[in-house]
Amino acid sequence: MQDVANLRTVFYFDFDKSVVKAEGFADLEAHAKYLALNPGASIRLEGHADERGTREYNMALGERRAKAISRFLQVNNVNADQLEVISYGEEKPAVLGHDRGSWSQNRRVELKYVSR
Amino acid sequence: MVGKIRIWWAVLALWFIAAAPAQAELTIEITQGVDEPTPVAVVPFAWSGSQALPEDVAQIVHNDLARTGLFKLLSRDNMLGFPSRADQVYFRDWRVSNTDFLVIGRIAPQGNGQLRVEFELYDVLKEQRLLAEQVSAGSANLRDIGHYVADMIYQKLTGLRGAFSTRIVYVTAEKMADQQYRYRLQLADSDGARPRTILESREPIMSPAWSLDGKKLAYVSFETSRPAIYVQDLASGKRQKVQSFRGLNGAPAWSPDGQKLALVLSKDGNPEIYILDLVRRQLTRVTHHYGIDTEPSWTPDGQSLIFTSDRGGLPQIYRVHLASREISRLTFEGAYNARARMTQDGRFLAMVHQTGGSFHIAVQDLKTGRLDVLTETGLDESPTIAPNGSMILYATQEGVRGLLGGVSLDGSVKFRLPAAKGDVREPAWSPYLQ
Amino acid sequence: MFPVSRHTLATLALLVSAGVFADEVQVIELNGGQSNGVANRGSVPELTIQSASNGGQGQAAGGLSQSTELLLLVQQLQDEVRLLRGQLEAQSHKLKRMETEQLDRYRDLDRRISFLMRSAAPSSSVGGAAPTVAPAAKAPADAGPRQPAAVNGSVANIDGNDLQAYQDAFTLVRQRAYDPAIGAFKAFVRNYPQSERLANAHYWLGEIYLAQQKLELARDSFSVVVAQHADHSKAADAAYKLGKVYAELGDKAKSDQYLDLVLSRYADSSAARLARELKNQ
Repeated sequence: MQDVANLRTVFYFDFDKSVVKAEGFADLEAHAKYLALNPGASIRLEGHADERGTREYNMALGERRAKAISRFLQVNNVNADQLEVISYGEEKPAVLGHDRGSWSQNRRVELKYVSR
Repeated sequence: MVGKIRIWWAVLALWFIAAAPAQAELTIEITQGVDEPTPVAVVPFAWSGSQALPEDVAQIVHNDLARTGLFKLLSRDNMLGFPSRADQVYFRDWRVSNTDFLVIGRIAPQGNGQLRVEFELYDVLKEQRLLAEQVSAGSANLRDIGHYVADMIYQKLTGLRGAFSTRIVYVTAEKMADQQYRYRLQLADSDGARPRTILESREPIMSPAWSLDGKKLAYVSFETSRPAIYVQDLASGKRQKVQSFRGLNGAPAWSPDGQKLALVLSKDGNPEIYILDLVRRQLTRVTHHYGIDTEPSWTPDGQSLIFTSDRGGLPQIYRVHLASREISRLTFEGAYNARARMTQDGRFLAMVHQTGGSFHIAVQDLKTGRLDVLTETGLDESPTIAPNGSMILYATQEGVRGLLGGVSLDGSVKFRLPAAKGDVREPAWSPYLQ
Repeated sequence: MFPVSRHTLATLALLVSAGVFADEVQVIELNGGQSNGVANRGSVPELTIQSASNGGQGQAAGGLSQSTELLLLVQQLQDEVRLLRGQLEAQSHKLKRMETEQLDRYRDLDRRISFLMRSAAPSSSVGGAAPTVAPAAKAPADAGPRQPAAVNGSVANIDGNDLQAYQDAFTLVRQRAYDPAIGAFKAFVRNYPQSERLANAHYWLGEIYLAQQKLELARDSFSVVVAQHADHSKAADAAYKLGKVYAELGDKAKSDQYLDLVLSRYADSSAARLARELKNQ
């Protein structure tokens, strides 16, 4: 059994987009495999947006991103009960700063294990 | 008769700095003026009591009028005298200092802690009294009196109802010593003075919205670590959680009759707009689309909602007629238009509009379709319109700080309300109060 | 065992910059349709799923589970339908606008023609051989649609008051239509030499020239305000701007002269504060 601790847990997105990028597929599949084999494990998917645009729209965008990851896991045999989705919109940036570099790090979904 | 103020379309040229009221946490800097403001002098009000008053009423009136950009206020240093009654007014003196309109007043103790405030407005050129009124108040309410006087003068000179006696709410985020954020929902006078905290939380607070009687606020709080919508009574401070489904609970907006809240829920899979009947506790779904539907607000007639949707690939403003459920798109210029608010006359939409990679406040004339970008700063959001339709307050960035900016609907007048501490965001302008 | 293969869903952006994926790529074309970009913003992404295998692993290409591929496909389809919907909305809006404009144009033409016919009729009935050319030539100028006088500058609306003409010119400044605005303000100066807004017109001419970096012209316009309208409310600002223009022209002495003028003659003006700041630079 591989250790999920070594897998990527932050997935990045393009501006106003919620398409899961190919670079994350392998790690997501590995997370999915682990969750499917461990029905007692559960995760929380926290969606975020960068500060550009309006707050409530970004709240929706953060959720759509988290849901995109959630669906990916579900079609890979993860039970919906093991997943929780929450959006923080632009309220909790990973990086403070008003430039391209900060923005690209803030458009993200963080996958957090609630129990393993 | 009364000279209506000639309001000039103007671009920037003048940079005024108004003196900061000593007690205010938010101070106002006027960053732009109109082309030909009307000269007005507000003489310090005479005070016949013994102890000093806690507020300078004339200064409050002076600052209120200055902030509109429509008036050029004579500084006290240049006044040839401080008349406080009609028989002390020498019109010739005021003509010499190029004053078109003159405000004088006096305050006297009335016993039982009450004060009587009398004020008069004169047309200097016609040597005519336009207004004379008296009001009484406790000394704790002198700021209210100042705003009231400013409202009366503004109305007399422009023909528009003044909105100085209104309030604003906004959210601040402050990083504390423990590196944690403290979010506060603040209530203040329309000039930013007398701020007080309505709610404090370690988790985000968002989207404050006034009920149309000005007595209640709805907002989103993450205090339980998940978003929920609360309604809080301002007088009693009592609050109630009205909605906390799984997923998003956001963007509450009161209906004009105060009975309903439009809001956004994603309980059915993705963000959709619902109407919650607060009296019958009934929830009705309004939109059905797999795209994002959010940021609803009511048209003043209560017949429709306007909202942001990216059902067309990019966020744009749509209107849904509630009876027929017919949906029409309202904005077509640019790749990003969001969070629209309609003026009370239903003519204009204020919104966030993206041009060239940055986000500005823009106004669209719904009759002609014409869109005007009003601001130059880059990350402007959350426009909220004064109840008299004269000004838009919005959130902007200056350096690394979030602060509030104001702009007139024609873009000619601008001011800023910088906060002493923390990041200021999401202003919401109250309706007329009382 | 840790899966090493990476799988790729590529949208249009990745297709265009295919160089990003250096490895050989297996492409499942579900729709080879060349969406010709419809010259609109937000062109439609091609509906294509690509599976790329990575790192020289000779593993079976496209290791994505079928349901994952289906999911990605549905998402792409949804995105594409949204974009198409957006384009449809924009185009029907454009169409509607063109229809109304056409109707307006027709009505305008109709008005002009009936005006022509009306003005031609009496002359032929009375004079018989009356010259029809004169009224015909004159008519369009009167009957034309009411353009704001300022639009081409030379045709000022003399009938309207100076306020309207001034505001029209000003609107052009707001729209940053600088050349038309110059024409409009010049026409204003010509047509309303007595206007109390004359100084304002000169001032704004100066502002526009300054914005266009036509420094000499800006200097001339601001000078008119300072020299001929010294008591006007715009004089202080004009003097300050002259200080600025001379500074940009490299004439420090003249620049200081005007800034000092602002400080002495218009000490209480907001321009004085700016003048002080400029001097201290």
